[in-house]
Amino acid sequence: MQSHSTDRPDRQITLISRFVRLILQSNLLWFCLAWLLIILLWELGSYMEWLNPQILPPPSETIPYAFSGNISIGFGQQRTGLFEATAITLARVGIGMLAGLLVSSCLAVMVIELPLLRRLVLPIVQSLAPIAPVAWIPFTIAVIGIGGQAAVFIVFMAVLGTMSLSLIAALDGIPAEYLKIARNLGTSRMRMWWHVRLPAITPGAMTAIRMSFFGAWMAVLAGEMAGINSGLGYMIIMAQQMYNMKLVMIGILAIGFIGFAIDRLLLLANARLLQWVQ
Amino acid sequence: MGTVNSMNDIATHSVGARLEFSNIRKSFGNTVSVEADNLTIEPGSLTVLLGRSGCGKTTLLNLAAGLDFPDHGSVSYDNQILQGPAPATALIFQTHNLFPWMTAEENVAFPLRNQGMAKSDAQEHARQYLKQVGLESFSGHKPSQLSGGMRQRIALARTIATKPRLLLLDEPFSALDMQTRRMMQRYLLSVWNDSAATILMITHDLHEALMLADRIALMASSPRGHIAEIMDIELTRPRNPEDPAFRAIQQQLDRFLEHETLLAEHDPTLESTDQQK
Repeated sequence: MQSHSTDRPDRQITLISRFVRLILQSNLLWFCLAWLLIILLWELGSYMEWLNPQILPPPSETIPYAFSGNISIGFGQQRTGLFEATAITLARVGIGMLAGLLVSSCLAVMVIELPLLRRLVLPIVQSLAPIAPVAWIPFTIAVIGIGGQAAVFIVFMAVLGTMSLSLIAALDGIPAEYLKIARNLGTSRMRMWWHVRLPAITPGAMTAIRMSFFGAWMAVLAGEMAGINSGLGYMIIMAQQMYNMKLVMIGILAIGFIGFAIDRLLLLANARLLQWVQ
Repeated sequence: MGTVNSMNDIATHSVGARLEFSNIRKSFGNTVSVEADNLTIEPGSLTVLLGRSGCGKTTLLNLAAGLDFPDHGSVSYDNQILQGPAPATALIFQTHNLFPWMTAEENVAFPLRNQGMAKSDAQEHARQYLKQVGLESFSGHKPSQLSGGMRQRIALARTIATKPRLLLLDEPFSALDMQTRRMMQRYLLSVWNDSAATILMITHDLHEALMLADRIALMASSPRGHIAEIMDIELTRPRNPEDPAFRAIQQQLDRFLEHETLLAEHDPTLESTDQQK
């Protein structure tokens, strides 16, 4: 009994310290702490009048506004809400990236299967890849207009070059042994693509998708700010023109958080798909 | 279950292939080249290509697999000149043998699926082959969860599953530690005994060559990669490294390799360059 009563508090202490250590190691905790600090500083800045509350409204006004559920800007046809705008922008990124992935996959398959095409296609892709996605905006608006298709096209152009190059590089980088062995085991052309090449390039392809997501995300927002008449970027420009700085701030934060969340989701999908990578 | 019961006689169904290199010349650019005038590999024999890296061993193996073709001369498989991937031939390399995205079972089942076997049958067979190498309880593991020796055993299991008549091994055990390597050599010998397949194996490990080979083709790298000597090893099996006859041949081969190394030291153009890939 005696020993029981003496080592009990010890055990409690180790349990607590372990719990504290676990919490301290949690990324989520530090993420929340960092943001709390920013919000506090921001509030303090407004309170002390270091910041002009007209231009940068304090969190105590901005946060309730963000959750009031009734955020929208503009009149009549031009009226757009935060959630609607976000959904539109996300759909554009999604469709544009899917189209980009589809076309670049086809290009990569053709380049690998037809050596002649490699010589022809690769220089084009290589010269497209370094073009900054935003550079396509004026061209697109002039050619396609200011509708949703223009935004999708900008995303598509933003990802096409880099994605094709990454996919081709990943395919070229497959260890020769895998292909030799697969060929030797009597693998048909279709099965070679589906069961050998595709899984072998998945790590490279997933990285390419994550990287091009950032490019696409920036490009579509820039496009929406530069003239396309809907979406999150458009909402921010509209809020700025109507001097609703709270909404501008909320829009900026939404861009950050959604970008961050999608990157995390892609990372999660990555970990799920790629458990086999050492 | 009938298919699985018949597994016991899988090994004895066929005869090994006969392989013949005649007047082979193969160059890569103007630097590395290999020649093999006449090398016949008899059905069911175990031949080892022994030599330092850069003497064209892997090139000869690729030619035997029909994955590459000579500039001059020909490789015959059962008296037919090879013009594409050699039939009923299995390859095992030092690394990258298993597809890391597949489980052990999926790896072994893969060639069976290639042949059009139904998925459940292929899985059933794969488990049986894994049992033969003592790894049936690891069928759901990915290669990254297994040791190097286990991976090579699974590669061997997959190889048996394809019922090869010719087995081409490119330094299959050189990434393994000494004990595992010895164990794998015994595995290979038992697979070879059961299957009657012809084996052509590359190694730079003299001891390994002597433990396994019926025949050793010694390769030299000067003035270009070529087969310097073919030795028939008539030691009884199982072989014992303590046997004086074993030692005598070992010393003889050692002197040859030493001479090769000396030559290379005086000729910088012969610096080890592995021309595979």
